[in-house]
Amino acid sequence: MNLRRLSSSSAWLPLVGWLSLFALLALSIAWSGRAVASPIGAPPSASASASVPAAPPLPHRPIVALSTADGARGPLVLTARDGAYVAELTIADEGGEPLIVSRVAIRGDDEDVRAPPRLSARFSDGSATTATIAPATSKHIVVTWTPERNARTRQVLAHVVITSNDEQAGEVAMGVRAQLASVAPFFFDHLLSCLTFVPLLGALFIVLMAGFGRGDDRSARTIALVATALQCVFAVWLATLFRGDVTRLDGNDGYQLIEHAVWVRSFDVEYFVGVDGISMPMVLLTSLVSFLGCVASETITTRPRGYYALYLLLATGMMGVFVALDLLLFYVFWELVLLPIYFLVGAWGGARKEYAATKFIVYALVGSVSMLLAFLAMYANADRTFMVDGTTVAHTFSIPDLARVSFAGKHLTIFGVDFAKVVWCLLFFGFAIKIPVFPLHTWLPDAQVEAPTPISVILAAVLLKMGAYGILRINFAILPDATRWAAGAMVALGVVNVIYGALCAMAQDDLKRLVAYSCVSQMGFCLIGLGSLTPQGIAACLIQMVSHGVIAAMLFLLVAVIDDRVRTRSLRALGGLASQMPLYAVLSGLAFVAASGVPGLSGFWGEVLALLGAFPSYRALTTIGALGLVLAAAYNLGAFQRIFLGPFRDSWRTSAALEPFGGRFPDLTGRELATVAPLAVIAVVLGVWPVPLFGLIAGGVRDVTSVVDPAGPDQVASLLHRASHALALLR
Amino acid sequence: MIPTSALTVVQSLRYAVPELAMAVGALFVLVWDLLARGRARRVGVFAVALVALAVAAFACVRQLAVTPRLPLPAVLFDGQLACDSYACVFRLLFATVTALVILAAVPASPRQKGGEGALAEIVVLLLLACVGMSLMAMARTLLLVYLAIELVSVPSFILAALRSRDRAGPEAALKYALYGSVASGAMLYGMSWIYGMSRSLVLSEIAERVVSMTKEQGHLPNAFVIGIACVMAGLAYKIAAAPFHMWAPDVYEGAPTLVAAFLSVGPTAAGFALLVRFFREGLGAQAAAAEPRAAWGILAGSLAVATMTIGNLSALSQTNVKRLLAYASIAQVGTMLLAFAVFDDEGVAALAFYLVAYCAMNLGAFLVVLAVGEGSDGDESVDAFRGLGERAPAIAAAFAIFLVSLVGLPPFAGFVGKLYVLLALLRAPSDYHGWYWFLACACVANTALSLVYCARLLRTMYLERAPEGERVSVAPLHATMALLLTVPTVILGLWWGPLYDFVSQRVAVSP
Repeated sequence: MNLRRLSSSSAWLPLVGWLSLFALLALSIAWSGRAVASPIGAPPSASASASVPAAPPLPHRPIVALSTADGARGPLVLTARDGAYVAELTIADEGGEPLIVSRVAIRGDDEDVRAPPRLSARFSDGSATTATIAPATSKHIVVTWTPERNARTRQVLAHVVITSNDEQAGEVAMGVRAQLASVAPFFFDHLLSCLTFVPLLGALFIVLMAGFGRGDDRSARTIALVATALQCVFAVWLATLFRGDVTRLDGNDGYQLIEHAVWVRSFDVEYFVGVDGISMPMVLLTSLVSFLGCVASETITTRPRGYYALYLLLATGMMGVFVALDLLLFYVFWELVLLPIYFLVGAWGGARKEYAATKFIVYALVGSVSMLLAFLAMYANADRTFMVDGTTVAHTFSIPDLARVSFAGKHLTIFGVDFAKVVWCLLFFGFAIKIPVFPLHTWLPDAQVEAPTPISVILAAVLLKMGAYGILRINFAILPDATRWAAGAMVALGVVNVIYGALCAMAQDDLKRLVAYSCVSQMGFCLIGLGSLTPQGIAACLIQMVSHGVIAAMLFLLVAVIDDRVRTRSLRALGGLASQMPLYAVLSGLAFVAASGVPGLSGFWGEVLALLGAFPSYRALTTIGALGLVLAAAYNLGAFQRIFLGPFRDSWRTSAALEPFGGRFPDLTGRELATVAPLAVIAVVLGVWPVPLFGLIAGGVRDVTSVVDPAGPDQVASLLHRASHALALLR
Repeated sequence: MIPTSALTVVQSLRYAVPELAMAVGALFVLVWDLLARGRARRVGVFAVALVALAVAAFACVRQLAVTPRLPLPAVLFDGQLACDSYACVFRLLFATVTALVILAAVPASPRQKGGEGALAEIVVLLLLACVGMSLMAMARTLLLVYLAIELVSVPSFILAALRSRDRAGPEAALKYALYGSVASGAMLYGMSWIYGMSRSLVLSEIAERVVSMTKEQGHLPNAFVIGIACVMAGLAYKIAAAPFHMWAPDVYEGAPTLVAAFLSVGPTAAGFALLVRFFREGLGAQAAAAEPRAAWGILAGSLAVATMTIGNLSALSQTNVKRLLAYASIAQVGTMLLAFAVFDDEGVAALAFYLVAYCAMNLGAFLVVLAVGEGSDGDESVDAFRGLGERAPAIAAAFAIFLVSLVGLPPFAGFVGKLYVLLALLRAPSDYHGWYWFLACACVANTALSLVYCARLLRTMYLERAPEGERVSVAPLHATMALLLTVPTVILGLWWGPLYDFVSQRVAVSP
C-alpha cells in the first residue's frame, strides 16, 4: 500500500477518530498513573474534602539514600581533575535514627577482582571509610581513580559498596564509571554499538527508501557495501584500541570497550556489550566476511533491495552475538539471525531452497528456545547483585555476575539430576545444533548447498562459530564444574565430527556438499580443543574458528566460480581445469591445501594445537582424531585433483554451458578475485606468522582456562616464546 | 482483598458507569437505527457506539486512579460484582478491543454484512457482548458467572450467523450455539453441585468451604471435584481450551472475519479473567497448601499442554487462513494456560501481560486477513496470500510481524510474553518443580512447532509468486489499522517495562 494513496482517500475521518481515541486513551492512562498515590488500593480516607496532610513523622530507623551530585540515582561519572578522575556522591540519612556507616569500599578484593586498580572511595571529610550521619543530613564520599601513565584498562565500571546499620536496605551500592579521555568521545565510547548497529541503520535506510518509492537496486547495493565497509573500518579501529594482554586481574572482568546501561529495569535486563580475547577475533572475522559476502552478492539479480536489507539485518545480528555480555541481549541478537537466513536461503536459493530453509529454521529455533530456557533457569537462581547504576537486584542476566554464582552450592535438582548439569546440557544442545555436532548436523549440508553463495559463506564462516563461541562464553564461564564433567563427551563428539564429516565429504560428488561436510569435520577440531580444557586446546579452538572461517569462506567463493559459469558442481563432470583457468587453479589449490591443515597455512595451527592440547588427557580419542588430518588431505586434495588436474574434457568445448564464453572457461573476474584474495592473504599470513592472533587471544584464553582448569600452568606464554624461537630459526 | 461491606444498587451505579454507558449506547444505537435515514444513520450508529466505548474507557481509567471518591476494591450490587483494579484493567482492555472491532466495521460493504440494516445489529451485539465480558471480569457469585457467560455467548451466536451469503454462517452459528448450550448446561450442573456442597453462591464463601472440607478430609471432596470439573467444561469452552475447542475452527471459518477477530480476542480474554478469579477467589487455589495446589497445577498444566499441542499440530495441515489462525489462537490459549497453571501473582501478571500482547497481535492478524479477503474477493485460503510481499508490501510486512510475534521471536511482544510465562513456570513453588520444568519444555517444543506453519505462511507471502501481479486493493482503514497495531507489537517487544509494571501491580491483588 502506497502511503501517498492513503492521504487522498476519503477514509481519513474514521482514521482520525481512531487516532484521537488512541491518543486520549494513552493520555488518560498516563494521567491516572500520575494521579495514583499508591498502586494497590490505598485505604480510602474518611472525608472526601481535601485537607493539607501534615508532614509524616520520620520512621524510627535509619534509611540510607545515595545520589550523585545532580540528584540522580546513578551511575557516578568520574571526571578528570589534576591527573586523576574524581567525583563525589552524596549519602544521606532519610530516617529518624542516626545512620552508622561501617564500611565504604570499592566492590571486589584480591580474590575477586572486579574494579581496575588504583580506584578508591573515602568520605570527603577526614578521608575515613566509616562515619555516622545524623538524621536528615548527608555527607559526601569522594571516589578517585588515578590511572597509571600507560594504563592497561582505559575505563572503569565498578561499584562503591556501602555497609550500614540500615538493615532493610542491607548493602547498597552506587555505580561508578570513568573513561580515559579520547578523541571523538561519542564514537570511542560507543564503538561497539556503532559497529553492531551500522548495518541495521543501512537496512532501515533501504526499507524507507523503498517505501517512499525512491532509490533503485544499485543504490541498495551501494548502501549495503558502505555499511559493511564501515563495519570493517570500525572493527579494525577496535583492534587497534584492543589490548590482548588484559585479563580479569586488570579489572572490569577482563572486558574492554564496555558499554553498560540499564535496558528494562523491571526484568533486570541491561544493555551490556564488551569485547575480550575470545570475542575479538570473531568480531574481526564477522566484519570481514560480511563485507566480502556483500561484494560477492553482485550475482543476486532478483529483488536485490529485499536481499540487501535482510543481509544487513543478518550482519547486525551476527555482530551483536559476539559482543553481547547480557544473556537476554545475547538471545535477542541470536534470534535476530534466524529469519533473515530463512528468507535469504528460501527466496534466493537453489533447487530445494524451501526445504533447506524450513529445516534450518526449525532446527535452529528448537536449539535457541532450549537455550532460552537455560538462560531463564540461570537467571531465576542467580544471586543478589547490583545493576550498573547501583540498584540492587535479586537476579541478573549479566554474564560476569552469573559467572560468580556457585550453582553447585545451591544444591538444586531437576528431575533428580543436578541443576548445573541439566542447564549445561540444555545450553550445549542449543549450541551443538549450530556448531553442528553429529547427529544434529543434517541441516548444514542442505542449507549450505541450497543457499546463494554469499549466504553459504556466512553460514560457514560465522554461524557455525557462534555455537563454539557460545560454549566458550557461557558454558565455560558460568558452569565450569559441569564443563569439567562433560569435557570427555565434548572430545568424543569432536572426534566423531571429524571422522564422520571427513568420511561423508569423501563420498560426495557435489563440490559444495563436499565443502559443507568438510565444515562439519573441521568444527570437530574446535570441539576437541574445547573439551581438552587446556590453554593450547582453547587457543586452538579460537584459532581454528578464525582459520576455518577464512578457509571455508574462500572455498565457497571459489566453488561459486564454477557454479556461476557452468551451473554444475559435479566432480565427475569437471576435470583438467588447471589448463583453462590457471589463476583459479592456484587459488583453489591454496584453499584446498589450507583446508587439509598443511603447515605454513593457517589451518595447521588450529588442528594440530587442538590435538596437542587434548593428547595428554585423551590419548586414544586424539589418535583417532588425528586420522581426520589424513582424511582431510584425502578429500581436499582428491577434489583438487579431480577438478583441476588431468586432461581437459573435449566435451566441454562444444557444450551449451560454455557457449557464451566461446568454448573455454574464463578465468577469475576482478570481483571474484577481490573477494578471494584478501582471504588467501590472511590464510598465508596467519599460517606463517600467527603471533598477532595468539597475542590477541592471550588474555581471554588465560581467563577461561583459569576458570575451568585452575591448576593448569600458563602455557600460552611459553607457546608464544617457543613459536617466536621457531620462527627465528626459520629466518 | 476482603470487602468490608457491599454497596447497595444505588451506591454501586457510580462504579458501573462503563457498563451502563455501553448498555445505554446499545439501546441508543437501536433507536437511532430505527429513526434515522441515509448517511446520518450509518455515521450516527458508529459515532454513538464509539462515544459510549470512549466513556466506558475513561470511566475505567478514572476508577484505576484509586481516588477517595471511588475507592477500590468495592463490592457492588449487594455482593454480586467485585470492582477491583484487577477487574478494571480487564474492562479497559475489553472496551479498547471492542472499539477497535467496531471501528474496523466502518467500511463494511453492504454485500458482506447481509444488507445495510445488519450494521447496527452488529454494533449493538458487540456492545452487549462487551458488557457481558466486563461482567465476567467482575463476577463474584456463581449466578453472575453464569449470566455473564451467557451475555457474552448469545450475542456471539448471532454474530457468527451474520454471513448469510452462503451456508457457512448459519452452520457455524448453529454449531456454536449447540456446543455453547451444552457447555453452559454442564457448567450449570457443576454449579449446582458446588452450591449443594457449600450452601452459598458467593465465590469467597465457596472457597472457605473448600478449604475447611479439604482440611477435614485430607483431600478435596469428590463432590467438589465433580462440580469443578463440570464448571471447567463451561470455562474451557469459553476460552477454546482442549478438549472443548472443537467449535472454534468451524465458527472462525464460518463467521465474518471481523466477528472471528472479536471472538478470538474478546471472549478469550474475558474467559481468562473469569478463570483466574474463579480459582483464586472461588477455590482458594493461590493460597492453598502444597498438596491441593499441586493437584491444581497438574490439572491446569495438562489442560495447557493438550491445548497447545492440539492447536499447533492441527494448524500444520490447514489451507484456510481463518482456520489456521483459529488453531493458532488455540495454541496461544494453551500458552496462556501455562501461565495460569502456576497459581501465584507472578503467573497472573504474566497471563495479563500476554493477554494484552495477544489482543494486539491477534486482532492485527485477523485485520490483515480481512483486508486480503476484501482484495481477493472473499478468497480465504492460503493461496490468497501468495506473493503478498510484492502485491501489498505494507500489509505483508504487518502480517509478518504479527506471525513472528505469535511464534514468540524477539524483538516483538509475543517474545516478551513467552519470556514472562517461562519465567513464571521456572520460578513456580518448588514442591512440584519437575512438573513445571516439563511444562516449560512443552512450551519450548510447541514454539518450534508453531514456527513451522508460521514460516510456511511467511514463505507463501514472500517467496511464492502471485498468479496475477497486480496490487491488492484494500480498504485503507483496515490496512492502516493493521499497520498501527504493529506499533504496540513492536514497542512492547523493546520497551515493555511500563506496561508490565502497570498490569502486574494492579492484577496481583491477593485475597
